[in-house]
Order: sequence, then structure tokens, then C-alpha cells
Amino acid sequence: MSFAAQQKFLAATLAALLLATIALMASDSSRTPAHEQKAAEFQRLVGGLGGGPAVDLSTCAFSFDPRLCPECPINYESVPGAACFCPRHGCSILYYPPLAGAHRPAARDEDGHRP
Amino acid sequence: MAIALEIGRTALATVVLHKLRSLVTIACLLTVLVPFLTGLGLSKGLEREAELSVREGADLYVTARQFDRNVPIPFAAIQPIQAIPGVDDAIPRIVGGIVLGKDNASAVLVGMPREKFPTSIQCIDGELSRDSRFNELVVGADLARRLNLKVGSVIPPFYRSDDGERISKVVGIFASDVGIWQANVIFTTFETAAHIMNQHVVATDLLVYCRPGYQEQVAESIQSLTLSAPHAPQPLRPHVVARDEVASLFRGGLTHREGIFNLHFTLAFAVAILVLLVTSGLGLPERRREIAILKATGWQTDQILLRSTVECLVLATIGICIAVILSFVWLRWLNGYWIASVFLAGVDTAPRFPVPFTLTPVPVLLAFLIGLTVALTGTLYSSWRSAIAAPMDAMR
Repeated sequence: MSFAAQQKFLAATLAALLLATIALMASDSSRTPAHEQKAAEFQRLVGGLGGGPAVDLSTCAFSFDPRLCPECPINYESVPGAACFCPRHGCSILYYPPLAGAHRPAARDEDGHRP
Repeated sequence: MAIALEIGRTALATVVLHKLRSLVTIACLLTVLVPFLTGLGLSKGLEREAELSVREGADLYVTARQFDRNVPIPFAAIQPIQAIPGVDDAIPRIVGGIVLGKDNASAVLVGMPREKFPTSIQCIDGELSRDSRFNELVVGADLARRLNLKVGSVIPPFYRSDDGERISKVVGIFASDVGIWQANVIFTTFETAAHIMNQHVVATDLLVYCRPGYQEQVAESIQSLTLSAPHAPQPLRPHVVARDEVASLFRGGLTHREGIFNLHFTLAFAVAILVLLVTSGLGLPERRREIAILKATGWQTDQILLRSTVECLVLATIGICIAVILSFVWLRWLNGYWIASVFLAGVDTAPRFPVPFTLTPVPVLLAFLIGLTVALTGTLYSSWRSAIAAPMDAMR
């Protein structure tokens, strides 16, 4: 193949790759409307469950669903403040901070939370 | 303009001329960009599923609070909460961890009141629990395959209860495509879950559904309640999590992503820049000689830099396009083989449910900019060094 032909081939490949990428991104969806409907039905059935990058409660319920456990439970045991060692957070791709309300209990005049 | 276009054309020629260098650069970009894009795709897919979970969930989640931690809420709280103006319904729910099988597979037991079950359901292969003498369970697809359970399978007692143990029967299996969180779920009636957990006066949380516009008012009213705990000497404080509060966590998730994911890629990008520096000039005498010849034939330094920039643009575009295609193939057709288990905790190497992912334009654009920056950083400096040297010296 001549040098000029190679250049044309490169330009054509570049155009084809760009078109393929745009087409993939346009068609990108791991879900169809039917799947969405079934997923919504499941969530209604269980009252809204999940949200984090874990699929069970075995180590960190916070990584499974922050509604069940508003912050990493490892923070309390066995070493206080050990959330940074939580194996569920190390490689997390969906980081979220502890729920703001986790440290904002209902203030009462008589319970020491409000002086 | 014509000169700039001509320089751009020669940049395209350079890509063809230095095939090995171009291939190494693209391979280098792919090594960094494919896992990066795959991770971002997974993250966005998960975010979308999380949003669905919030949207279809309750308006408020009420638990009790003790020692600054969530604790189960007593049944006694249901009636006062239902009496608050603006509350449509308050449904007790049990969610707890259990262990099953000889390999101690972790499962999430979810119990909801039978009267709240829908009359017809599509997300289950089989049926929901009906009144029977067995514990009737609907099992997540992943757990069912791991424990070799099918509709009709019988599970011997796996728990201890004050009321005695009962045999459990699988009456349904969740469809694998209803989301990742069904994977290890065991769904049953509230009564059965309470029996398995040996808890008869408390629920994990109360799901409160409010009339539109009443959410904040109801949350405040619940916060002011005092819950009398069945066995605790002091009353418990209610703790309310609102739907908006949870939604805002997930919305900010992508922008606040931290930890090893970012650290890993910062290191990877640094290594990629070094590799490109070596391949693009510092270690390639041919390239230095080429630039020296261009200088000797009248090219200016800025023209040489423009040529290198266009060359990088072409290489980065090829790199990002191939990276998007490979990420798509990895996540869709290979169903995130291995990579899903790295990013999603508790998932097997070959996930048994469709891995959620979305390759949206913003992460792709971000990856393109990163790829271009890596290529430019690795190329421009060496090109500039060669361009400012005397052609005689650079040709040696």
C-alpha cells in the first residue's frame, strides 16, 4: 500500500471509529423500558432498597443502602473511627458521604443535645 | 488557514510514518482509558439504579436512634405516625442480614406486610408468598444460582427462633434484570421475616408515605415524637431520612468520588505521560532528526508544535474511540467480567445479573481530554526541545 493510500486509510478508519463511538453512545443503555418497569416494580415491592456499590449487608450496610445505615458501621467497631479501613469503601466507584442527618438527631430541650 | 490545514495533513502523515510510535501511544492511552471509562460507566449505571430506588421508595424512612446509631423501631410508633396529618401510610419493614448454605452465603432478608403485596407481579418468576405452613421465600437470582435453589425447593431450618423453626420453601425467584440489589435478597412476609429474625415487637424501619407537600411537616412531627422502647429503660428518639436527602447523596456521588479509584488513575496517568515522553522523542532519535530536517527546510518552531498538537489530537481521538468501543464490549457483551467484581462489593468474577452501566457523553469527553492531555504532555515537550535545538545538533 502506498503512503498516500495509507493516509487515506487512516482518515477513513478515524471517521469510522468516530461514527461507531457516536452510534454506541446513542444506543447506550443497559436497560430497555421493559427492564425499567420491572426494576421499578421490584423497588416498589421492597419499599426502596439499595443504592450503594454492595450487594449484601455482610460488611458495610452503608455501602448497600444509606437509608438502612446512615454511615459506615465499621466506624464504631472494632476500632472506633475505622471507617477508612472499610474494605467496601476502598475501591468504591460510587462514593457518597454519610447522611447529613446521621449526626443531626432530633434536638430536645431535655436531652442534652440542646443546652 | 491553508498553511494550518497543510500542517494538519502532514501531522496525519506523521501518524502513518511512525507506525510503531503511534501504536505504542494508542496502546498506552487504552491501558489507562479503558478501565477509567469502564469504572465511570459502571458508576453512572449504578447512580441511575440508585435514583430509581429512591424514586420508587417511601417519602420518609423512620428508625429509632440510640448511642447515635440506628436501632429497630417499636411497633408502638406506627399508630402515632399514622395519626399525623399528611401521612398516607406507615408500613413496617424488616431488613436484616442472614447466612445460608454450607458456604455461608450472605443474604439480605426483607419482610413486608402481606396486605401490601401487589395482586400481579412481573419481576418474579413464580409467585409471592401465600398463606401456608412453610416460610415462603422469594429469592434473588444470584443467591438462587449460588445455592442451587429453584421454585419449589425446600430449605431446612437455618435459624433459631423462640417459636420453633420451620421449613422454608422457595415460591419465586427475582428476575435477574431488576437491578443489582435483588442479587442476594430473600423477600417474604413481615410475619415470616419477624419469625426468622426472632423479633416480634420491632421493625427495622417504618416506610412513611405522605401526601404531596406534607413531607417536611410530617418529618418534623415525627422528630418530636417520643418512642417507648419495649425493653429499654429510656425512651428512644426517632430518626427520619427523607427521600430528597438520599437522592442528594447519589447526585453528588460522581463529583465527590474519592479513594483508590482516583489515586489509581492519577498514578496511571503519570506513568502514561512518562511512557509517551520516552516513545515520542526523548528516546526516539528518528523523530528528533525529522524535526531537525523540518527546521532546516524552513519550518518555524510554532508550526512544528502545531503539527505535534494535531498528531496528538488524532492519536487521542483514535484512542478514545477504541476505548469507548472496548468499554462497551466489556460491560455489555462480557457483562463486566472481573471489572464488576473489583468495583462492586460482593459480586462474583462473572456477575450473574446484567451489570448496570451508562456511557454518557460527559465521562467520554472527560476521558478524551485526559487522553489528549497525556498525549500532549508526552509529545509537546520533546518536540519543543528538538525544535529549539540547532538542526545540526538535533540531526546527530
